[in-house]
Amino acid sequence: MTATPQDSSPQIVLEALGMTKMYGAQIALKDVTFRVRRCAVNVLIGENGAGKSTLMRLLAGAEQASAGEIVMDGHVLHLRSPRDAAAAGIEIVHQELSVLDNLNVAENIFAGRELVHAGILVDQVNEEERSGRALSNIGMPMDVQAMQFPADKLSLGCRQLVELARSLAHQAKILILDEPTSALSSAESSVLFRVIEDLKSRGVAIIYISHRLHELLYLGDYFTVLRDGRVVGEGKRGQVDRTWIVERMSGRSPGAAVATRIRLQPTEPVLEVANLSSHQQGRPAVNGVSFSIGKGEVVGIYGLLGSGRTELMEALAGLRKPETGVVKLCGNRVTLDNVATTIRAGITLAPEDRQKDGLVPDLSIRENISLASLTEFSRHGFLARGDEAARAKESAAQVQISAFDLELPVTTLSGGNQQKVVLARCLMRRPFVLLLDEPTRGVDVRAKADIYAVLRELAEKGLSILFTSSEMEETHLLADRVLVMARGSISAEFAAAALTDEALFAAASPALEAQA
Amino acid sequence: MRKIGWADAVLLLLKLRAVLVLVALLILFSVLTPNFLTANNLSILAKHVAISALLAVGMTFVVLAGGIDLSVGSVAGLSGMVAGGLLTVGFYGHASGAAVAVLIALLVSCLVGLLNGVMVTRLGVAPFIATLGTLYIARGAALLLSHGAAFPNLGGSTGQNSGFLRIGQSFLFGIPSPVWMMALIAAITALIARRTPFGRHVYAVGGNERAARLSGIQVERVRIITYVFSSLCAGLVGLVIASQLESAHPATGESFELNAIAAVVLGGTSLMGGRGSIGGSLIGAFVIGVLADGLVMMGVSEFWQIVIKGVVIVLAVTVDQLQLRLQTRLMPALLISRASLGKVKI
Repeated sequence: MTATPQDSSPQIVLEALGMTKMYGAQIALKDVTFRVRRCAVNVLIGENGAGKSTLMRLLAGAEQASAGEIVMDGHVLHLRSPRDAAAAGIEIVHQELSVLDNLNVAENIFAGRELVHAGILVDQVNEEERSGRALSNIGMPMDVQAMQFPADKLSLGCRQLVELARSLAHQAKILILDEPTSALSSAESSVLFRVIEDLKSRGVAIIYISHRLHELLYLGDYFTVLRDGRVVGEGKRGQVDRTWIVERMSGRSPGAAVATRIRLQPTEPVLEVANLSSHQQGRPAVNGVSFSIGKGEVVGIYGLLGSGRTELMEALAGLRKPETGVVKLCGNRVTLDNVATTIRAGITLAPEDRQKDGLVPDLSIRENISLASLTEFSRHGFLARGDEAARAKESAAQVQISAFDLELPVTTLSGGNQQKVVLARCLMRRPFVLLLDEPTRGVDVRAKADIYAVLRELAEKGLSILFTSSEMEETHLLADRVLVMARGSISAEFAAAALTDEALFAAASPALEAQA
Repeated sequence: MRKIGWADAVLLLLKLRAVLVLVALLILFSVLTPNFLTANNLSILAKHVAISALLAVGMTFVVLAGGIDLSVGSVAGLSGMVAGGLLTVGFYGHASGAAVAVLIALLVSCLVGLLNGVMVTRLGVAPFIATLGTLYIARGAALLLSHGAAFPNLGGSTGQNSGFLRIGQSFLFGIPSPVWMMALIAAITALIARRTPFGRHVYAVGGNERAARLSGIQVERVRIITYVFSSLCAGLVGLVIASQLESAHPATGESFELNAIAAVVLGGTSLMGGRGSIGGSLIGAFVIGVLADGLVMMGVSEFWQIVIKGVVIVLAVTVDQLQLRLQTRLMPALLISRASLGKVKI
């Protein structure tokens, strides 16, 4: 850890000292000290699960630290709720937009802190006037009439700016931006960057979180790198370059190839995708994607949030109907109408969000595992429970679920084991192609290693695997071949042996080529 | 000898609470009113319960899949009126036989269920609203069939429709036919719920629709079937009532949907979907029926009966929440007791 010389300089507006956060026995943050400087963009970098979001939740008052204190302008802050943080002048713009679609712009900006007449009626005129000022301050002048539109009529970029205006209307001293450009087009991003420069000059301290390296290098004044819940690097603009960041984020020197898998010989293609496109709210989310996967091949898709990787997976799984494209499985054309047909054809998806899309919480572990294969156990219309239990046990063993009893509710399992349950369900169908969207999100290190081992063994046996990941290490460890997605298209392809962190990052950040 | 850990015992007692309440009520009423436990009274009681139990069984599938069906009472009314009209007036003066009348009445009921299902799944109407709509539509249709009047004398002046009267009035081994019907349908549905892929699909759809869809379950089809089945049960209830009264009244079944929902909830089925059982609803229907009958025999005022029913429903749901919380709290103890039994390995 490198201590910066001007630790005590007056431009530091907030210091988070020795922050530690435990979730049960799991350490999310360990003794992290983070300094925020006025009139500057303070960049926070780290891979998924490094602890960035946890640290921000502590600063925004959404959660309380297990140890450590937050000092602002020489006073210790006790942030028990987001309201406390707002009162102290700390505002956060979330990665997932929290604009309320049904309210209009002014109502959104004052949601939860409405201006009122005599304590009863909402002072609409005043709210609209102040909203108008906040919006024109960020270069988005909007007349009173436009402010009457409900927010869902606005583009994503506009909504992002409304959210920003919401923070600014309340005189933020510290503004936290969590992946603000993940949903924005490059034109919309550049508007945001101008706003950030302007805020900086007016004395606001900005904490900026992003995976997009070129953005960080372009905007950042001070850099802090987190890895595994610890600070592993601090630097100033001028001392920091791409290599510096990538090295600290991944804990390796970027040149070193880490491919641990032996590259398989090319095999006959199992899944062939040609010119697949899918739209989301009028924008192309997947744009003319073509690739193929061989038998027993593990292909990784690396891409940042909003790159279209999840949409591609959903299209292949039959969850969203693609506008164009031909998908062939073992040489035969497959129509991606609905999930039932793609599963029958031999493609199964383990979704990214297992709570929302993966598990049925009221059912037991066994019932969750066998959910997609029930027709297999059907004898004269009834479930053969012995068969079902035996196969569930077999599948559970295959993916190494450590459970007391498969009859217990699935909610009694840890995150890693729950993920294995979803995996076991997919495998019970004996698919030709297994799709995994972020296979180890929110999974502890040991379960991660288990899952990697299982997947590799399956690939050896001939299963073709396509997975997405936003972790470089995972992509390195698992993939034979890596496709990089950016803005809905495949921007690069690497063989595992030729893969470097540098190249991965460059290909995933499309605006870089535009700037270079 | 098999030992049971204390945590298991506590949970078992809580799970069986509806049965315990039922037993307690039976004991209480047989002590307080001398005529309660007579065969005659029990037979009347069972006939009452059979009607709300049939509706509750159909409703359970809908609720398990995450929906609700408010139209069952009206569908019962419509079904009776359709059958009554066919038996007495018929098409263009040609009165139908009992079998045809029954089949068409059930078909009409199923069509209402299909309409419910299609509105909920294909048109995205909230179940509460869609079935509230069909509640009015079916009731209005029942009234229109006879311009508000009843179809009397369904047996026919020459007794030509005695087959229809047998639906609700016959006995087998001394037990009334509606009770047999209820027992048979409850047994089949319980089997479907517990032992068939379709049953599991219903639970999965109610528990997590997105996960069910991703597992290849045809969520829309499952939902539609639950609504059709619920309406079929309601149609049957309408026929039973018309057969018992030997006449069809357009107002038959008013507010029956509330009794059915109450029975389902009392039986421990979650209105959020995904959790509950057919057996529970059956017991729930019995609790409501026994409570109503017992209170009448004790001479409790009609108005107090309504208050007591409300209190029982609210209490049942409160205990349900308590059980869920306790279950989470007791899980570690439960695991340890299972492990000590050698049932699971740690």
